[in-house]
Amino acid sequence: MSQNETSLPRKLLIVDDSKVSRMRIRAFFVAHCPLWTLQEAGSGDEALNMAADDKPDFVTMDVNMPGMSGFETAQLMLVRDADIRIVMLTANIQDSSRQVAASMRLNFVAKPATEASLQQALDHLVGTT
Amino acid sequence: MALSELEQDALTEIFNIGVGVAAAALYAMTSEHVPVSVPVVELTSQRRAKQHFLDREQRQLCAIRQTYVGEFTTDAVLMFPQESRLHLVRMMVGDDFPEASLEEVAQDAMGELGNIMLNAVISNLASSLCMRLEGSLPVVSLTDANAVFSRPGRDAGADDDEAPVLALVIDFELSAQRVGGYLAFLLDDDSSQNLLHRLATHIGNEARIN
Repeated sequence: MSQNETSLPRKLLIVDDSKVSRMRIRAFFVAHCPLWTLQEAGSGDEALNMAADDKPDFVTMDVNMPGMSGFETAQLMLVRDADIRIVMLTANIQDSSRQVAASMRLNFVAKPATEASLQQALDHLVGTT
Repeated sequence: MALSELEQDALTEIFNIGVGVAAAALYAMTSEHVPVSVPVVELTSQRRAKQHFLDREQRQLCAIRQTYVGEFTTDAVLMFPQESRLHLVRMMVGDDFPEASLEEVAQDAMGELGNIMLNAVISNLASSLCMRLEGSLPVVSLTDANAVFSRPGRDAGADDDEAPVLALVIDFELSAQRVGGYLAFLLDDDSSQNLLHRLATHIGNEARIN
């Protein structure tokens, strides 16, 4: 994948239990990837249902959420669709959390959701880093 | 039981670094410079911790609390004066967000703010002491210092007043807006002992490196 992905019609699923974080993530992707279709889920269960129905290309995934964790959700998504690209975007920046992400070959970006951290997430999703 | 000078120094340094990361996160969310105080680390009683805090702040508070469980359990609490709450939310959601909807997202925004700042401090603590702490989801409440400094899951009754707690209180301020806040990490006696045990290993390792 290349940076051109940002100007192609793609689907992104934003998974985060914080509405404010989802708003910030959405605003970034609306500005930088105007052709992408954005969807939001507030929990792992909701994300899995939406992913099954709409087959997103990309996912930003929080870790600590009510119910299923972001890592569990990501694992189940990858079992269903090995091509889906997921970036973990989380405040849980403990080494152990980074290690879990690395063991699952998932990219890891530390919150807060800012222009800089979301650019990092975008670069991971479209494969420029 | 009191902290030795070395323990005090090591804990202060660990929390100092963690709070620096938390301040950087707060800056990223609000675009405000955030000077922070050097943490005050004390092994003290619940009553004294409460009094220490009340000497600085008597206003109603918006508290964001998360419980971290691992080799020890700590209640981590981020506090702002209640009157600053919507101001902080405004800084997080931006000027374009409609005024009428600010209250609707306030709980969520404060929870996320606490989640990010508390995780920053706890992550540094966990890395420094080579361990893992599992955090609960943030709980936001409008409260006061009496409730904040009660042991988790118990009422602020007299029975608990002399219970030992390791209390770390850190002041910070969003300079331009003059919004002050506080971080506190409360551990009961068993957890304090476990933390100190870990700390002793950390201090030993540091001594070998140096």
